[in-house]
Amino acid sequence: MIWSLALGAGASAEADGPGKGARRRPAGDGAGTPADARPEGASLDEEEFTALYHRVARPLRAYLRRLTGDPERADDLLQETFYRFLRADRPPLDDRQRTTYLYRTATRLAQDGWRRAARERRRREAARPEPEGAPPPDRALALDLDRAFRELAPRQRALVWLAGVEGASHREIAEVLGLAETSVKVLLFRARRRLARALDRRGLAAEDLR
Amino acid sequence: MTRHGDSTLDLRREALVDAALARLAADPADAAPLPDPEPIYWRARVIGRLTERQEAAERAARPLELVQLLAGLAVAAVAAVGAVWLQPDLLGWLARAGGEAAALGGGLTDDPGRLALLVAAPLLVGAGLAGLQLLSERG
Repeated sequence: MIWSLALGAGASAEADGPGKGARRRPAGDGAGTPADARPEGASLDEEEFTALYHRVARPLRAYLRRLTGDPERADDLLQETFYRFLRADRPPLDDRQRTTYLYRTATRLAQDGWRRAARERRRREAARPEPEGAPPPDRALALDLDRAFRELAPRQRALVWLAGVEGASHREIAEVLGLAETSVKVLLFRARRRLARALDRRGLAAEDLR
Repeated sequence: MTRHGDSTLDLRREALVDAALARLAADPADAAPLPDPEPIYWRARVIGRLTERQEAAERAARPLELVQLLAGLAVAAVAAVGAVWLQPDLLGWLARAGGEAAALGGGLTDDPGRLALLVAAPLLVGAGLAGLQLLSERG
């Protein structure tokens, strides 16, 4: 997961890309170490920032894409998130805190104007001409999955993604989403159950997805 | 690794959700090139520097504003003290000036010719000066 990748395995995350299975957290403690705690924001030089960006940006963009359902908006929000990270006036953070900070900022930005963005996306999709003929099976499956995922409420998407793909702990999820740690388990269970039902309704089985 | 599954969600559904998430996480669209970090960094830096300069200018201007404020207060205080000290004389002057103004006003209204002269004199002087300026510009 990004929280632990940020502590040293970042290069492998970049190289692995998104195709290495759902959970990105490598084996290890995942709890993080104080790492290179030092003043940042104003003092983070370009090289350090670029390194951080390359560690976190790709999974963060994937998260934003799932949250917004809109690749262009996800790119915009990604840039805005890092911009705000650089401009923020705050005490020095360790790598785990930086990652949490970035995810929390991204989540808040995605939530702002959520309804407006969803309306805009639906309008764009309606205006787009339907492709002729049936889509190839892989594409149809991806569309079904995407639609099933979009049936979840935005917070549920964030919960399911952070837990299931990023492998974030309940504490990390609580920090990112501004929830009580004790609520995360229940909310996560409901979100997974809702996703399972959405997938069931589309007649999807685990075997189809492997 | 954190295990988020719950025993109350049956195993088939657990496997289905996990497989769906694995599939979503493997979306090749996520491998598209990322936005360039350089403009983000420099945008933040440039705006940060501008903000710092603006704040520094505001900080630098703050003592001057304070001095101006104190000077204004001092003038007001001196004026107040002076006014209290000179109050009897001031009242006398005001009473005298009021009386003279009333007398002048009465005199003016008594003789309309004087009032017309008082209004017309500045106009005539102004017209004369404008004429002279016009002549000097042409000449």
